[in-house]
Amino acid sequence: MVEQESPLVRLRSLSKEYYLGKTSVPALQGVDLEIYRGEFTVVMGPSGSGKSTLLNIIGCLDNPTHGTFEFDGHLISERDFDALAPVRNEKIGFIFQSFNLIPVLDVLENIEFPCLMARRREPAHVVRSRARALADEVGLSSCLRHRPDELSGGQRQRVAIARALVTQPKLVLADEPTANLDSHTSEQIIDLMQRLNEEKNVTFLFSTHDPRVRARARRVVSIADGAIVVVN
Amino acid sequence: MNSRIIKFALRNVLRNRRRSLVTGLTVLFGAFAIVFLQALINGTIRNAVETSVEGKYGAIQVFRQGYIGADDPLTVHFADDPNVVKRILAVGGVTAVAPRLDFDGMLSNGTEATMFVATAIDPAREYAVCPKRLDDVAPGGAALRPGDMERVLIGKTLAQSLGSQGDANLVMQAAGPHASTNALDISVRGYLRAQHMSESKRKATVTLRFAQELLRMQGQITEYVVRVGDHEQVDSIAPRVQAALGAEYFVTTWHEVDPVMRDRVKMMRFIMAFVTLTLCLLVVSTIVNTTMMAVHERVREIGTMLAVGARRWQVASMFLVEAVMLGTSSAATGIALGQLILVAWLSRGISGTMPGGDVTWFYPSVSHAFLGLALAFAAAGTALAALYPAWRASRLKPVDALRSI
Ligand SMILES: Nc1ncnc2c1ncn2[C@@H]1O[C@H](COP(=O)(O)OP(=O)(O)OP(=O)(O)O)[C@@H](O)[C@H]1O
Ligand SMILES: [Mg+2]
Repeated sequence: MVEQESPLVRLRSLSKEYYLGKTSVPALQGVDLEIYRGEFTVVMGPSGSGKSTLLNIIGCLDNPTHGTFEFDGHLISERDFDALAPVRNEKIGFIFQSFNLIPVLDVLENIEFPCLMARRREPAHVVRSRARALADEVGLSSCLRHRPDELSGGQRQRVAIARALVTQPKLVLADEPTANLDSHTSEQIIDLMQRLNEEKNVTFLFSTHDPRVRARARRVVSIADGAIVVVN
Repeated sequence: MNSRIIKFALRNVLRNRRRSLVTGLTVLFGAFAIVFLQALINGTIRNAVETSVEGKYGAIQVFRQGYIGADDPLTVHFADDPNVVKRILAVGGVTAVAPRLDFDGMLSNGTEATMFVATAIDPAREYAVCPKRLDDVAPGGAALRPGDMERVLIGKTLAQSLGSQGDANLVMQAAGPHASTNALDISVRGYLRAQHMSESKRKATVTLRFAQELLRMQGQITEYVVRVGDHEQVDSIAPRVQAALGAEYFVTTWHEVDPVMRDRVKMMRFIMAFVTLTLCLLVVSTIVNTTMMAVHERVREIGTMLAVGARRWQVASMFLVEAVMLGTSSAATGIALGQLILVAWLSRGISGTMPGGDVTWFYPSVSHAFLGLALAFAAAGTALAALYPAWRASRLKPVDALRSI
């Protein structure tokens, strides 16, 4: 049974190996980690240390080679990719380094997009009003009808943040969300996510190289060569 | 399907306008060409079959057993018997019957003589079986009429070889059964149209009464020609006529009497099938190619879709819908364009000439069923063509797809 204090994410001796031909590349080695509701956690580490791999496994985009992964009280290992689609759709939001917006859709439509892929479709006007509210929240109400190529990097990442929140997920994963932004814009994006965390209690898990992000984090997980070295 | 998904697919189709345009035009051309060529072939075949069936041989022919291949076919004659005609008419699908007498001999103008091959017809009954014979006369002449007696229609080359112009008087000489030769005066009523040179050189048409008198075969004929309601049914009707008449008679169809025409029809159908197949392959390959390129360009988007919770079939169906949308709309335009040209322009007919023959007209057209079938095939074909690339897209690993540039 799920207790009040049980973690949202629980990893136990999780490891991941990639195979390049016959040689195996260890990307994660025996990771133990818990993430609780309402956290604003940053995973730091040098390039190639396994940050993206970790986030992809937590996001149900990839399977661990060994170990167990529980999400929201459910054991997630060894499940079919399509069977996890509702988890990705309803419980997890993704923010990417390179925004990954759909170029043929405008701002509102991009925000609504996860709802279009949902198993249980809500009425269009319900989705639309939620998308508008989110666009307002992230400061995009003046360009709802713009296509991604008409937006600045910072605006695009705001769209991505709104899209990650549209299904009201339990966890938002952000893989280096500020790496493609200048420092001023990065600051604003971090502010926005911090505000969403504090005001709406959205749980965030970041990976980053960015010391400014680290400065805002309530909890920092340091990772090197696929293993967690410090948690503080 | 959801209107937002349709809108999404439409925008994806339009995002690479030039490529979609080229693909669309290829499909359009393919569909147009299939409709257009099919119509031409239909027109040609119809014209050829009608020329053969309604202008010469009738759909079914009835001889006396032993006529075909006989040394002296005229000896294998039989009586023009109303009871036999009744029995033939009683067979389902038969609409008319007419008697004929085929013979050959010499035509002369007093100084020169030349060979002819004649068909004797009963003008009162013949045109019900072969209505095209009425138009089988070159301008200036007229078809044989029931009252006509010493009148002949001959090929133009045959007439010219006898120095005949207009209604010249000639002598027709022929041997009846058992080689009893006779000759009668006859005047040229007009020239026969000819499909090819040998017809123009040899052919003659006279009335049955004249031929019976010339050959001393009163009341006798060599065959009945039979019209049926539907040419396509001829192979099922002929055996029933044979059954109705018994072993004394030999029943055959225009397929056997005119094997050249039958083979020409077969050949045209075969060529059309080959051309259609080639055009279908063209359409399928351009759709495969376009969908492959679309998938390739959108790998990251596919990764994003999978990350936000799309299931694999949703990714596949997105590419399928796009391909079917582009393919079907282009094919529909091509088919409509083809039909428009056929109706507006070619329904008035196209004239053509065989070497040594006269001008013939034919009317290209396709049935509505064919148009519907072509469209259904285009939709199914594009879906099938897009199936493999769409499936590939849906099998992408999201982690790899998201890492791609
Ligand atoms: N699909 C893959 N196939 C093979 N090896 C991979 C694959 N993805 C990652 N790796 C390897 O796994 C290790 C961890 O990679 P990962 O992308 O998780 O690191 P990262 O911390 O996110 O790095 P960066 O900061 O550069 O994004 C690296 O050594 C990388 O080369
Ligand atoms: Mg990374």
